[in-house]
Amino acid sequence: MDQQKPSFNPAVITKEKLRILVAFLMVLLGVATYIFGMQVIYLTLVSIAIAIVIEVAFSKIRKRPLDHGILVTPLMIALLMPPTAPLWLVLIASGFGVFFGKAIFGGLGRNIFNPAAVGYLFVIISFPAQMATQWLNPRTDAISSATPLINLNAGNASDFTIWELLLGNVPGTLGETFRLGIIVLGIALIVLKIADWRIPTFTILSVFVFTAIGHLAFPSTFAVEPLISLFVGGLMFGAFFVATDPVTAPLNKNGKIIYAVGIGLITVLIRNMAAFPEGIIFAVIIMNAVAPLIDHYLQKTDEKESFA
Amino acid sequence: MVKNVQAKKAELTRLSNLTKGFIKENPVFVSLLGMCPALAVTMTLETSLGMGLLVIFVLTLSNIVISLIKKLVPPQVKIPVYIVVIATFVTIVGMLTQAFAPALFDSLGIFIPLIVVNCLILGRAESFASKNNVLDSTIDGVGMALGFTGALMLIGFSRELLATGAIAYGTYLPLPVSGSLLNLEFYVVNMAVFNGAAGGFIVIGLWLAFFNTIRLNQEKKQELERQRFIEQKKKEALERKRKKALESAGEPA
Repeated sequence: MDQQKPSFNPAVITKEKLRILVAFLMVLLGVATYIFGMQVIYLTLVSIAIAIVIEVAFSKIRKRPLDHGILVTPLMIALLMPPTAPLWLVLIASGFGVFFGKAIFGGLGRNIFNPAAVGYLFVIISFPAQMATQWLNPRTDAISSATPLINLNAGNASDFTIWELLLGNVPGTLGETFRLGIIVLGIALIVLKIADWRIPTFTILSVFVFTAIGHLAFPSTFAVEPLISLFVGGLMFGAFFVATDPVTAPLNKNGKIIYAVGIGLITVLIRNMAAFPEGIIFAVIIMNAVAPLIDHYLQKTDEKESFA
Repeated sequence: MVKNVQAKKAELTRLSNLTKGFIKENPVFVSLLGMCPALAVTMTLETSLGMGLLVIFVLTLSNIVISLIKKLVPPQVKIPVYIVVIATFVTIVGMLTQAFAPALFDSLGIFIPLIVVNCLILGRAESFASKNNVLDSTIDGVGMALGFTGALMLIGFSRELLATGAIAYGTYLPLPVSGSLLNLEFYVVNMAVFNGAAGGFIVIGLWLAFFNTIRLNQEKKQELERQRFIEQKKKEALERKRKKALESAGEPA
């Protein structure tokens, strides 16, 4: 129908902004390579290769121009993988994410769910043994079964200081450990108006608040201290890079706040009460599903502002 | 002679009556009826087959009984009467399953009593059995239920293969042998997502897309053929007209 227009969604960000986002993700991957070794490069290359194959095939079949956001999803999926992930795992994650998360809906701007989160969820539910049990400790090069977040959730004392957690020389997924860089690049994303400031701010704030409430009320269930909880797991990466995807977040400004608070609440609940140690990606997927509803209910109050 | 042709015609329609449920009017993939069991009990091939067998039994018998009593039932209480008939047979199969295939009974659980509200069965009762004679209704019931079973087994086969990498037999149905087929031992195939509801939706969606593509292509082909036929007829008519005009023009000359 609309072959000239690659997308109709007003939320799709421009080519230049996407290029900056890709560059930031590349920086994070570079740091991950420095921390975790060459496996990161192989994972990234496999992820990108399968994504390009699927995108090109779809653009040929659907007779549509190639999306300019082709690199974002595979890079994000690579950043969400654990350092010990085998190559076939990232192949499945990236292939599933791009095919079922994006291509089936008609490409960039038409997807309901964040494609990177879709691919990640598929593999973490299907292959928990490979995704959530083998964590490489970059300082000792030993593989242990726990990340700082898993340790803290179990009620053990953290063996890492906040400064170590910020610098990223700790066990975790590829993208989540260099938290200082994530915060700096995330603020750059906000300054460059690629990401909306409300989503990361309110996500992190609400995680802090809900963890604090839980920690005060039920210290045995909510074992993690509220301040430390911000610097463990994939919260920073999820809040700054995954949740802020403008296509899948609400368009409405107040809606973005509701969306972010919802992500924070679900993250805290999954972290402390569910079988999975980290819940930010689950939370993003759940709130992606709710985002159109939020927009629908807030549309009337905000119509003039948002489309003026 | 004429009688023979008529009998042949009737046979042909009976055959198409039987086979229409397989692909052309498949309850799951075309009419989207009975999606609840299609999602909920298709974790493995065997549970799908078990549910299919129960539906074959219930649908055939309920179609027979409903077409037998169609003249006795006043239209105001049609639906309650149908439901009572269906519920009777569902109770019977539920008890039979519990007696002879307890593992299947346990794994299907609440979905056996829920066959009562399976819209496929009520749908066939309402739209076919209440208007046709006993023989046609029986054939329709068997055909539709077989189509339903086939669709369920297709979904169950895909889901079990993707989730476990093998097709087990003898676990739920009281077969004399048990074991597993198609052991794909490489562990990439064990995708636990397909055991859950999300995997069910994905598999059903993919099969739906597959069957819809085939159907749409066929329809497009038929439409093209029809148009070509119309064009041809138009051309012929035009030619005839021209000939006539020429003749009538030639006459006075």
